Amino acid sequence: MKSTTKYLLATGLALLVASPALAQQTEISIWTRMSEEQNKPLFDAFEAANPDIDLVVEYIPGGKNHINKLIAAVAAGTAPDMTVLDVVATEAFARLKALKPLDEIIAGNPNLSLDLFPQGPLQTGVFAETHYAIPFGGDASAVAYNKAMFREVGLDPDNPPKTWAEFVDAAKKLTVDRDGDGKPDVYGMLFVPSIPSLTTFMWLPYFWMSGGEFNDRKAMEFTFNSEAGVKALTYLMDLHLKEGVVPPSAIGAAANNDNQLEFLQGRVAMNFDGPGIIARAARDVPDFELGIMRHPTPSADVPSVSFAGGDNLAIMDKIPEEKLPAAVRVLEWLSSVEAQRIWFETSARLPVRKELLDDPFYEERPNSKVYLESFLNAHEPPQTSHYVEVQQYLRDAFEQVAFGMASPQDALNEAKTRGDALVRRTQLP
Amino acid sequence: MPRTAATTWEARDDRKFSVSALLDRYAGLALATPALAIMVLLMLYPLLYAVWLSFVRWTPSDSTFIGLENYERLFQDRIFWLGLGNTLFYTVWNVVLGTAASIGIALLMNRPTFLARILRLMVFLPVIVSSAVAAMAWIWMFDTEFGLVNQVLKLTGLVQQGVPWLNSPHVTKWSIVIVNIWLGTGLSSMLILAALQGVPQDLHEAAVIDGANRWHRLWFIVLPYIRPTLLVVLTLKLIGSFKTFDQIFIMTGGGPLYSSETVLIYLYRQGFEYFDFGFAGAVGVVFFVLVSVLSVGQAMLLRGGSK
Repeated sequence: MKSTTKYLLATGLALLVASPALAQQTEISIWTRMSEEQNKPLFDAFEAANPDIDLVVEYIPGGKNHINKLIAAVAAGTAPDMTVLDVVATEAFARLKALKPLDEIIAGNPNLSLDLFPQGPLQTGVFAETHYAIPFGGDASAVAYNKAMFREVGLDPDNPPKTWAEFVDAAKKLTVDRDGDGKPDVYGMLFVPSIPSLTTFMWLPYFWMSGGEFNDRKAMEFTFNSEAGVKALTYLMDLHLKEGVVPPSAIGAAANNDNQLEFLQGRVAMNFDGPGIIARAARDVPDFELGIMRHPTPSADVPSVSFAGGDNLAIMDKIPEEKLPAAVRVLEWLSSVEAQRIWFETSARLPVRKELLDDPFYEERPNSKVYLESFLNAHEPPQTSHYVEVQQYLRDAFEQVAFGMASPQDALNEAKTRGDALVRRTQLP
Repeated sequence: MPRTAATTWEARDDRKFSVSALLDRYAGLALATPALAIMVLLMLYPLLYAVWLSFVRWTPSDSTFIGLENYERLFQDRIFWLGLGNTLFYTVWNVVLGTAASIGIALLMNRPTFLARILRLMVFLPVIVSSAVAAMAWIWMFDTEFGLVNQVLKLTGLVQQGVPWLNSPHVTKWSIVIVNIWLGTGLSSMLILAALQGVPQDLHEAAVIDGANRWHRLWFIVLPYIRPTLLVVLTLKLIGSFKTFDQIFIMTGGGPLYSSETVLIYLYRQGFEYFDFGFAGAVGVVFFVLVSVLSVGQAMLLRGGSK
């Protein structure tokens, strides 16, 4: 009886002692488009370092799923306190006034100083000269390749192609008819002209390397139908139509086609991809000999350019005022060197703190190093309020060319006309 | 003298305000109220909200009234008309071919054989499969290079090269029709089978005595007898086809080149990809009107049929 009383007293005392801490714990809801495997280590580390903040994370893998759910929640007034947000979607949410402007918060906070981050990723969080998000994880496109298949056809896996012409030659060698039925069983390259986001993601580096500018914000018009646009589109579509080094089914492929799977299964030898392929290859096909090369260039004297994708961190506009200090601490911590170093473990993204970009980690991991080099030389995504719509128009242009319904120039002209009409109607560049 | 319960009831009856009279009058309403409330909350409110949305340029904080601008844009958009044309294409073929297939399969199943029982199981299987799962399976089966369908066609010598089932603007529409019919035939053939089993055997026997062959019996006895069920099947197929979304969205996303675009995919893109909820509201309202007209037409047809 006595011991029971003791236990009760001890429990009561423990509750009394713990209750102020529990009462002070602030709950912050945060949504992310990454999987639990990719993001949980960061969030767990945050909670361990910040016991007074309870991070309620909702993982919504797949960029589109996350954006759909977030926009529905914004419309319904049930958005989370914070979100991890695809860099290309940040401007759209800022335009809808769904994100909290961060300029005042950043101005008085050395932990969020703009000097801590590379300029490219930082710009993706800016809309109408206001910062609405800070960089969280970097992403860059490069070309993933199968080293074993390179060796099989006599290519040197340690010396991948560097120019567009060399790339085509390699892709031709890698396109192999194994069963002798006159049709290739393995293709050299995977370029998908039918999925708006993916097609644009793949095409843009080649467009930029050709000297193209996506739009002219001051003139309120799109300029991707330039000579550079036609050159890049023609080069990539020729891989399909002229060289036959891309699986025919890539034209018209559905949005949920798993390109990484086709690559990892050995159906194609090369694929445009982001750093996530490193972790997936290691997990799903441990003996896969993965190589990563930077995008080939039009000529040896042109530097390789990549697409700077990735994710930002933002506070939603409707966050209750009393939660704001805790949300700012989440911003500070998740963008800190301590947190960003965790990307080395997960390989899901590249760190966005300048201090980590020359970390010794990369010397031991050549594939990650190629992504880092790509990231440092990456072009930020096009700055436009209509990126999603224009991706669709560009997809249409590629398909028109693929099905022989328009020349590259005519197809891009039509996409530009549609984009410009949108700019005129909304009065947003 | 104290009043008993009975006298009280009687007195109330006299004044025509008895509890039972009240119950009689309002019981139906009371019982229907929860369902009505749910309907108002989940159907009428979103409907009215969509109508309001269709007249504004939407943002989460300050939507602007713009009159009929969303509708003007909608009717001028070539892709909307493409989507509407495709929706009607799927609806017509799904109703015509789907119903014909359902009748044929139901006739095959309406036999006392072991094979007929196996057929019932096979035909009903797609009904219990999620349409999203089915769509994913069909993507693999329709793969141009490695898909099962093309492998079988090549092995049997029917084709030399793989058919681009989901990769050609001309072929994809028909691939979608095939999947829609595959998904929808199970339920409709079961309904028709149930109706077939209600056709009296003596009618068949009398017809045989009169010299009617199988075709005559089907045309002059069976089909007229199961007409009410056929009309129900037609209605279900019509409405179901019109609002098909998930399997097409998963299999093609409306492509290639909008060849499989439907009104609902178009609506989804405007709302959930472009965040243009006002415009998406206008699409929804137009779609609602179209489905309503079809439903009323069907209801009138059904009424005519039952007479």
